[in-house]
Amino acid sequence: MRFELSVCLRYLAPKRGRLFVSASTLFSILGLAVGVTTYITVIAVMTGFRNQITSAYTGYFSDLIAYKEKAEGDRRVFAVVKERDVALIEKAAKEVEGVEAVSPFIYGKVTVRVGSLVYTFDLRGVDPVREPKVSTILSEHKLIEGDFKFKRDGDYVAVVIGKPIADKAGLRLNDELIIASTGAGSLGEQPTNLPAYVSGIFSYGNAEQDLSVYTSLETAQVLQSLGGDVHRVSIKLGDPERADEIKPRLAAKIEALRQRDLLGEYRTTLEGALETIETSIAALEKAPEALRQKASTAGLDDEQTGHVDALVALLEALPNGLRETKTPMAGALGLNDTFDLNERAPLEATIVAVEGVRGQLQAALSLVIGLEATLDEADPLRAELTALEDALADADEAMRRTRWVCHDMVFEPFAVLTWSELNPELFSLVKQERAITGLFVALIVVVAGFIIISGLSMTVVQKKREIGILRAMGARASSVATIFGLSGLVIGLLGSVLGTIGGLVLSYNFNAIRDEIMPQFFAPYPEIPISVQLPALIFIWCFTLGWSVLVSIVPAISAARLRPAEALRWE
Amino acid sequence: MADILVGIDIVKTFPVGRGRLSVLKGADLSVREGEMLAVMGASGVGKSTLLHIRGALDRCDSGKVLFDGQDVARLNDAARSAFRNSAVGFVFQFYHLLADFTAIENVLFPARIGRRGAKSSAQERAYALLDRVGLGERLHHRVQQLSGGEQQRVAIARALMNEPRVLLADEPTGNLDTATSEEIHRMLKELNRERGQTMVIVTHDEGLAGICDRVLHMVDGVIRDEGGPLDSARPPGVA
Repeated sequence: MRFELSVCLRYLAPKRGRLFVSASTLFSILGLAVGVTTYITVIAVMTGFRNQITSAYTGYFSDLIAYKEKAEGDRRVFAVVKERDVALIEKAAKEVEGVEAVSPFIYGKVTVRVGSLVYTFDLRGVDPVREPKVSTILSEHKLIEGDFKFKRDGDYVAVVIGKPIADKAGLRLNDELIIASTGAGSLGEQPTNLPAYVSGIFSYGNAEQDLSVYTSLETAQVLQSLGGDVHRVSIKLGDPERADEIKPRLAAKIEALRQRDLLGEYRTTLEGALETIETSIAALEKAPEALRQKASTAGLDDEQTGHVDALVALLEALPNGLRETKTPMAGALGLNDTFDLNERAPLEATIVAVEGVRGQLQAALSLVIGLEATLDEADPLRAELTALEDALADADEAMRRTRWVCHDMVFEPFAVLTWSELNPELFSLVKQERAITGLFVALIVVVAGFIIISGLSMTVVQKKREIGILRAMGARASSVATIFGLSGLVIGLLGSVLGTIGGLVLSYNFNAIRDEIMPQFFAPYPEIPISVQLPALIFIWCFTLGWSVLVSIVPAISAARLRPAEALRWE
Repeated sequence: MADILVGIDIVKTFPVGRGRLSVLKGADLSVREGEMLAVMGASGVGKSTLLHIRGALDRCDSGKVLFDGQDVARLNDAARSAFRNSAVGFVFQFYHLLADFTAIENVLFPARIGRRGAKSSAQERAYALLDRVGLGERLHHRVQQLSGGEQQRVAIARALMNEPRVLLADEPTGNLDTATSEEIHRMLKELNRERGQTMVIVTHDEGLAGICDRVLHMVDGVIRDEGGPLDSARPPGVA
């Protein structure tokens, strides 16, 4: 063994007559051990707690969710998933390896009226045949009574409610109630009231999940006035661990199918718009002259003349404006079956161009309609304006549809997320709490490090003469520093080993210990599945050892700097 | 015989309050190979300081310490440490053994520090040295279990472990009774005679000075004169 290590170990070992040095070493080791034990246990318990939450929710929900977004101003909001899109997602699921099943669902809020009492709860509309293939929310094990078949009883739709709802509203199996959606549907209609009955009562043992009303997809669609549309589609994977790997492939496949599906309509719309542009240009080029002629004999007042002049100016500019949309539209029409959203510049250019010309078309339309209203029906100018109105309206409609189909292609794609990505706040809270707690616990190790500094500094003073003796025998200053650096490392190592043993013992016996110490407090709570984390062990070991060596640098340098002759004279 | 450790015009001061105390004021001291040299003088005159400087245990303010032509005083820490490990061996008044280790462990330290040779050959040499100083039966005794004289003998064995060119002894019998001191005197003389071990011994002990080849007197921080063994009993300037 190198002499530095043997000197270090001999100095740290307890011996008769040198209790202070040994006690200091002991407290340093114990301090570190307590820190390491606490850290390992806290992380194990909190990881187990997080896993408990995760399994409670991910078993409840599916592995992936597919949904659609749309732009609303400068925000992105959820859009409904059309009926044909659901079929599209089902087709994509069959073509992507690893996907087992899909099931559309609807969610929102529902008003429940029992007698004169009105409550609002979460609503979930599901397909009782497809949903069990993607999640466990319709698990028979969760039922207290009734079933999840959602079978209508005449005019009464079936709902299954959570036990807290049953208790709060005083509802039992087969009781009648009125349900209504709380908001307007996608068609802008007023909420619908539906007579319903309780076909089942369930409990997940989780307050948030139990305050829900389940019904069939069809009933929820009626309530939310969605027609055949839904909100999202649940997706089940063969192996949930592969969610991050399968997610982008599935998203790409859904998007490719969507674009291919849209492509036909897209091409038809653009081709039609280009034809309309030609027709409109031809009509609009003649319009200014015809208008002037009719206006000159119409006996118009000053205001009307002003409107005519403004209209003529617009009409003279419009043909060029329309021509300017042809180039980007032709470029956008060049898309083929392998359309790549990265090549969307022509579509974006088309959107900009048609939005610009629509402004002019609508301004012209507004002037035309305004002028028409001031003229007699028999006035020849009015007939001219009516014909002009038709041409402008056709052009505007063509531009509107062109903008819609380009925008839908580019800016309203599908997205696929894992459930935890859709609910980041829940997991981020647990993760954050774990990180903050871990940080504070690691402070115990930091404090123990200061005990090491104090202990080793005392040792340097007490061993001053021995340091002088070593130097007299030819030991270098660096060797002396190494002795004390090694001391810190050995203390850190012993603290880490003891702390790991303590941490493992405490972690794996945590549930028994907590029930023993505070039985009444912990009685309502289930056992926490402890999960000792290897990364946490590695981290706390590295931190403890690193910190122990770091804090020993100061006494090590102090020892190395001692002058040999002076040290030898130390009493 | 050639001079192997030559101190030239060594000056050393120590800080005292706001000023400095001059201890060595241009001391010259040389020792020949194989010589047993005593340095005597009153307490506080700078004998130990001179010894420490010559052994590279301390630095001088100015002057030179030549060992085989190289100025030891100007070397860096690593070179000075190597010098102390291999060229010189120290014996101190208070033995300065490492209390946490046994006799054999103490003797082995210079070899372990200098990483000299195989562990087994170092152990054999350590056993032989302890045996030579009469402690063959006390190898594994801890320092506290040894008497003063035994501890000093361990210190001597330790000082000789790496076969130094010069043994530097600072009051080696200063803490021992008369009988034990005489044992040490005898041992040192035998080592000098048998091995040709060069020694520089700082001492107040006239008996020890009496067995040395040469005696130097130090007065006021300089070496004033030298005399042979018979003159050692007389302080300088006294007939």
